[in-house]
Amino acid sequence: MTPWLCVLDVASASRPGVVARLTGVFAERGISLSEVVAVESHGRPTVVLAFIASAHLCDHLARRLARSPDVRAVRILPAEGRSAWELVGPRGGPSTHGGGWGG
Amino acid sequence: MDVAIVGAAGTIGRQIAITLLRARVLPPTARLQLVGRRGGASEGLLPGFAADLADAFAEDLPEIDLAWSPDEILADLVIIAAGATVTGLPGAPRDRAALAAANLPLVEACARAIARNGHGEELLLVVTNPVEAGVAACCRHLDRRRVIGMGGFLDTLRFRQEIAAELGVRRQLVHGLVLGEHGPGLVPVWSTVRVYGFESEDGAARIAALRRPHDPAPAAALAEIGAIVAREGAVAAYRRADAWGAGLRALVKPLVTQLSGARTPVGSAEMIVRLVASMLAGGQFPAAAQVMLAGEFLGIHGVCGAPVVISNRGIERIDALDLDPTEAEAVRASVVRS
Repeated sequence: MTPWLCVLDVASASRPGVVARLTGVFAERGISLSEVVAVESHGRPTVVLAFIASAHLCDHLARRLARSPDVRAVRILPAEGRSAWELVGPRGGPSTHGGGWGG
Repeated sequence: MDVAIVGAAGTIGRQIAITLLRARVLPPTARLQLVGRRGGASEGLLPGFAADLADAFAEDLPEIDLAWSPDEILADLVIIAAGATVTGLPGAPRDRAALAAANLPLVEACARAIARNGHGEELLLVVTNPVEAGVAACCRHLDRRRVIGMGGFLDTLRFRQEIAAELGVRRQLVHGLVLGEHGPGLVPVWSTVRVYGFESEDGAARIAALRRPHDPAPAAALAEIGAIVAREGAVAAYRRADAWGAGLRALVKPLVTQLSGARTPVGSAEMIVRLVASMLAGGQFPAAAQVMLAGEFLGIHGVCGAPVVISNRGIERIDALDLDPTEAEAVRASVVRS
């Protein structure tokens, strides 16, 4: 079992329930999320999720999330000691409206 | 749980999707994948069908995902309902061998893709016929405890329905299994039949009277009924079938329905969705289903309709039923046939 960071390039920040639907994919498979970060990163709505899973399950999750209409792109990376915030910057990177979205 | 329906543009597949959504079995956070075939009729039909589903069930609609090849299948529960059926129409397969030749490559391609791409805990419900060959093909690639053929489940509910109709009670009061082959080798297991309210000596005698030892052999009955449909139509065929016992009616009446052009989508989908609902709810469901046996039931090695307990983990166990010796022999013989 390996710690991973899942970086999701989200299609739209203005659709209610996006984070619930995306985290639900993990919950359905019994995966606990240790971090959930939803920010605007590099001008794009982004969700970063930290979790622990097998490489096989991780591959399945990537395929599953890639088929979600809420998601434009998926990257899953070994965490290698990094936190979810480290992938998006301390305030979510360049932002057009104050660093966060959906809140 | 995410659910995929392979053959979702077909008559049975579409009805399964409608019934699943109408029963609100899938939460809005789940995903229903409708799998069609690029370049086939489904390519045009599925997007429209998905839009129609959204119109009908928008309040609770799960995510609908369209897929076009076995490699795109991605779900926890995969219902394989694709392929040809015996319709009696020109060009359609006319027997099990022709059905197998038409359908097995797709069924096996699905199992192979799921084994390659899946998370390893997928469940497959095989509806495509011949179901025994479909289950065998899937078990070449996947854990046999996760492959469930639906034939015995449907036959069992039809058998119970025939008994219930003859006794004048509701089907839910009738217990009893159909084992063996989903086809002419099916074995209505009368020794398992119990009917609520018929526990007395008189009740047992009424149940025993439902058996018709002089009924024709299943293959002969199927041939006769097929000829009547062609010559005189479905009404005459149903009338002829009503002269036979419940076990034989459970076999021949679906053929009449199929050949009449009505097919069997409503009944089949309803029965399948009841099983899916129970699985998704985490329940354990005693049933008859085609499974790959390794000697657990009557010493059979191979695919056979057997008494099983199904859960969301697949086949929990095979029940060791104490069958009448004649029934046990008939079940063994049905495996040799298929």
